[in-house]
Amino acid sequence: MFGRLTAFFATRPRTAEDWLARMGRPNADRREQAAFLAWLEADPDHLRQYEQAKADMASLERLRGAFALDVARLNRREPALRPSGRRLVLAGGMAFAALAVAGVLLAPRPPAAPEGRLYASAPGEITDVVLEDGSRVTLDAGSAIRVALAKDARRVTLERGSAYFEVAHDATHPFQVAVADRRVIVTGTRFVTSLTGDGAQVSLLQGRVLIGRRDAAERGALDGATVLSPGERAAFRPNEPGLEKAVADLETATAWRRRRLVFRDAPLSDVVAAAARYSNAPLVAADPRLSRVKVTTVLPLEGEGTIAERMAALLPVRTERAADGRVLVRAD
Amino acid sequence: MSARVDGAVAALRGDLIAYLQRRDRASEAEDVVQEAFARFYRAGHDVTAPDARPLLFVIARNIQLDRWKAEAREKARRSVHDIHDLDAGLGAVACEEPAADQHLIGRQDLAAAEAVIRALPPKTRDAFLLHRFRAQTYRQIADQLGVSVSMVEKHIAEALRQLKKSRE
Repeated sequence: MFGRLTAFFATRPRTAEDWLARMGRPNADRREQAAFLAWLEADPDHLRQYEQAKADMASLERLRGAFALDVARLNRREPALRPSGRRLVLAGGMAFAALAVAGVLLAPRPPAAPEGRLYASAPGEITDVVLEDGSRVTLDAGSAIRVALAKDARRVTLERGSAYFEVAHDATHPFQVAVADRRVIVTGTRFVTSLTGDGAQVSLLQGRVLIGRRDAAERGALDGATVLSPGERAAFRPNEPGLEKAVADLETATAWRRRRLVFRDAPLSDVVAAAARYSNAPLVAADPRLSRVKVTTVLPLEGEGTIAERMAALLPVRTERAADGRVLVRAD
Repeated sequence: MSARVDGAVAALRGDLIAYLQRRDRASEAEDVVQEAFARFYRAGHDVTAPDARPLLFVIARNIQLDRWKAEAREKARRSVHDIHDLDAGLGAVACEEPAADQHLIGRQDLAAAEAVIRALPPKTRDAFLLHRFRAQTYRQIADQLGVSVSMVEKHIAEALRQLKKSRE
């Protein structure tokens, strides 16, 4: 009994930081709470110290982006996989968001910016990033951006995959996203950029963006730039002239941001290929009939079970785990 | 507002009123509790968190103490300076408590904080990152890092200590 008592007293927190760590336990019992109250009452300054420690902890929220990559890695039991050949090259006519990964395989990677911080999402993991200027970026699975916030401009390079941007308004520091050889220049707005096997796309949700070839800080950067209005989409091929504007299917283009994939009249083979990017086990379309069955569906990327199981529950497909760990998908 | 929050508020409210009335029958317990909750939320606390109950109790107690002091001052003032009452008015007594002093870490400090976190021993750093940015429970963190729950708490406390030290 005595031993137990000393052990209890030995671990009694003494400082505001100790108590904050103790109260992080979700089921602190009544005895703990009473001890905490006794500490708060012992010194009129303890409440202030505790609230200060808690506020400091809350203000670390602004470092979320800086640690996004570390946290994503921590949550993968195996070391983060680099994109590998197991992914399928997607057919044309795919849902916009789902096309993104093909860029990893086919598009030549733009030369890495010499400076700036790299944010990368692990395969299968969508990651939210808050940049230091307050802009928010959501990275699709297996995507990466490089960010350099300079005095003259805020520069981001889309290195691979897709990224959704909510740009903090700052007219004196234009926000520029380099997508291959083009520059998307804005001051404050919401848009999606994507590098794909077929090329690159920019879809605008709100505000106004200009797409040109020059850096935002260059003289005449906006000369000859293409103006995009909300609801419009621009598609182009890296290092080729020409830029095609069309009406954007925003629901489809941004669905991955809301942790789901949206398909309109898409062949099942496309659905499988898109889902494969969010699956931990390699997902393989093992049935030619998949390309003949078209579906319109919303596939949740998060929830109970694996994405393959959710797909099998939702769509006319069967899944089977092969001996080598791959999951084979067939039409039902 | 969720049923869980409503339930927590109702339980705390009842206990707080009983506690305040035990300390002073005459006090307007309802009023003090109201103010305590307002101050509690202003400081950014969460009523469903484990620290909610002790914090609310000490906040309510402080408000009650302040009121007692103000009453005592008021009595003394009345007896001595009865004649100046008309000039002083209400403002002389009401001494609004300043809002919770939530100084936010500035940008340089933020960079320093990042450096401190990155320099932590790996397990301490990982435990802290999972707690702060993944909102994982200590149990989940313990399972993932292969340590005990109380070890996770020690890692979190150590990280907080290092962060505090770097700010001083």
